[in-house]
Amino acid sequence: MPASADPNPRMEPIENLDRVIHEPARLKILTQLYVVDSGDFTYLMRVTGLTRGNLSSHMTKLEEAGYIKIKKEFVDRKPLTMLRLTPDGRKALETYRKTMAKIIRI
Amino acid sequence: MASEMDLKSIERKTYLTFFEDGIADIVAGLPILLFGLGMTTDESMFFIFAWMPLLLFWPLKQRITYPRIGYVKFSPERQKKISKGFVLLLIAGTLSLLMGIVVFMGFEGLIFDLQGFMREYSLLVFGAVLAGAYILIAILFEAKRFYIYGFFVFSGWLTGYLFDVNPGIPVAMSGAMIAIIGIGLLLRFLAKYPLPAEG
Repeated sequence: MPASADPNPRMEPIENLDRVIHEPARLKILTQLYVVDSGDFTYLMRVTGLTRGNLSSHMTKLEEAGYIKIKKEFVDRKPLTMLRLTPDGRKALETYRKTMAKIIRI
Repeated sequence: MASEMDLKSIERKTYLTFFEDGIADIVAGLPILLFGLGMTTDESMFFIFAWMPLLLFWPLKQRITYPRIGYVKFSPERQKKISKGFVLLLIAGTLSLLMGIVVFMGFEGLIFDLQGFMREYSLLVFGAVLAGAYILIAILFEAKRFYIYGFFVFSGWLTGYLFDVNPGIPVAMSGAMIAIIGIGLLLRFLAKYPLPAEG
């Protein structure tokens, strides 16, 4: 039988969830970056518990979405890969949190 | 709001992780230990080198802490708080130095006669000033164990004042206790956060 074409409007917030953020690993990365100005690769690996490869792939997705900015910086003459949340990323995470709060209230 | 509180607690936990390494404790305890040894032995080299451990703070952070737990630039609010803390510590340090000079001049009878007062209470005055510096660190950097260190330091000087012992011994012991706690924290930190595998 074909699906009913009568979606429940109360389910709309679920439809509107940002799928880039709605992935536990990426949500962890964004949440950690939200509370600091920027952090390096080692910091994010530690706080998210992700492997180097996994973190790299999620970083790429978040960078493509324009949510984070990756920059090579020298701190005390040592090269570090620093990650920073962009204003779009900050806004997207805030929207996601609000949407989730609405969903929880459904 | 509860969710705001959660983000604040994540930020606070991130910040406090950088104090888990015990390095601040070691560099804060060693000067007191060396100062106490100087008082005990009357050897001026101890006084000269007493401030040297403070210079080890950043190099140790760079070699031990950051490679293990990563490098973070804190939020502008937190950075402002940290900078304010350093400025206040610098002011407190300068004031202590000025006070030391005034006390020295008083001892020498150069400006006014402090001899009587200082002969009686110098241990308590220095103990209170140093303990105040530790409490200032505890308040400014949210490092709660520094309240206890302030108590240790003051107790060391107070013991020297109250009992018939060389005051350098309890002072050195209070510094040693702080440094030993720092070494313990450092060992725990090294075990908890091994160097991440290269690759």
